[in-house]
Amino acid sequence: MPRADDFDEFYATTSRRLVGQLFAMTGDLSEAEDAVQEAYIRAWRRWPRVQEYHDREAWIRTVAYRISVNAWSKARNRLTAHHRASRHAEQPEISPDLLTLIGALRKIPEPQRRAIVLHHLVGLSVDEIAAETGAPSGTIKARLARGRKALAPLVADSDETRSPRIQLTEHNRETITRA
Amino acid sequence: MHDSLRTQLSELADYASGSARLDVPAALRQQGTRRARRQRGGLALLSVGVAAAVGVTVTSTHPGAARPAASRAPASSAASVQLTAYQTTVLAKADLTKAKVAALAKAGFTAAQISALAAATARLPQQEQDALTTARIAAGYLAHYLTPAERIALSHELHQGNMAQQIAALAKAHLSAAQLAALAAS
Repeated sequence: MPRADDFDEFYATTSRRLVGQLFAMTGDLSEAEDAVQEAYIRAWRRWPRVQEYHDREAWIRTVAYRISVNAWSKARNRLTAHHRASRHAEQPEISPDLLTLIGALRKIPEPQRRAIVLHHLVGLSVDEIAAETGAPSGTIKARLARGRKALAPLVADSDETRSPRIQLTEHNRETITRA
Repeated sequence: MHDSLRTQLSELADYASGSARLDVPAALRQQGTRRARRQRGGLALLSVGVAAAVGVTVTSTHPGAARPAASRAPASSAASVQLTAYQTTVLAKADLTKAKVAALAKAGFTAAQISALAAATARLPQQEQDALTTARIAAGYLAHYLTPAERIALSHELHQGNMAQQIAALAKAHLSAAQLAALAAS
């Protein structure tokens, strides 16, 4: 029988961080929550093995990412997200800067977005990203360079340029956060 | 640029971490255990089905022959999971790759459920196969296999893309339970 307390402790210490990382990769909070929780369910089913992994958090992140990009799972997640939408109505409002960033991240291809998040948010090296994604290091470098180039106009260094460039309506916000 | 990007991504992640509504770990463990139990049940059904199919094949080709079960089972299993040229063509036409069957299995449906779905679809007239509704699924054979939540999720998925056609193709290809299981596991 797998140890429930080990799993619970692992979940308590890592789940929120992983939701944050998945949210940056997908731009959809409900989808990130569902994918991460589904990954933990799968981890529990093979917990004696997963427990022994050198980097369990990376395993969950990889599984959750695959779930979130799987089109059929997405359909199921959308249904779940629809049921949960009312619960998210009372979540703290997202700032225009972050909405701009989400919009910018969504404009770049998924592999580039994943590389950007793994490098700049998770703090993985190029080789570590290559190991996690299964892509060669050269490809990861190219994805990072292209992703950064695409994001550059939208992610400026000074606080001044980070002020809202566009006025977002309630509808814009809802579309971006729920799409 | 790098620091700014890092800072903004951290803010984004912090927002999500702080706003996330997550279930308690005990609920996820329960769900995982329940799913594993259900899958074991499905596999048991599948084994019974495969064993029965092997029995029928051997009896019909060798009436009266009494060969030991151990000697015939492996050969029949290996042959039964090989797709014929016709099956491969039908699945390919519907753009139904191994990965998609595996995805269906990974979405929580057991081989028995996929098989039942294909069987239920095959009973419908061709023009109705592309328009499966929740009501049809609920009223059909699947009612014995799927929970209400799974039926809703499945009907939702059917309306998302060309999955109805793909499932119809599964039925048309007359895949055996063993073939489905082999595809889903590959």
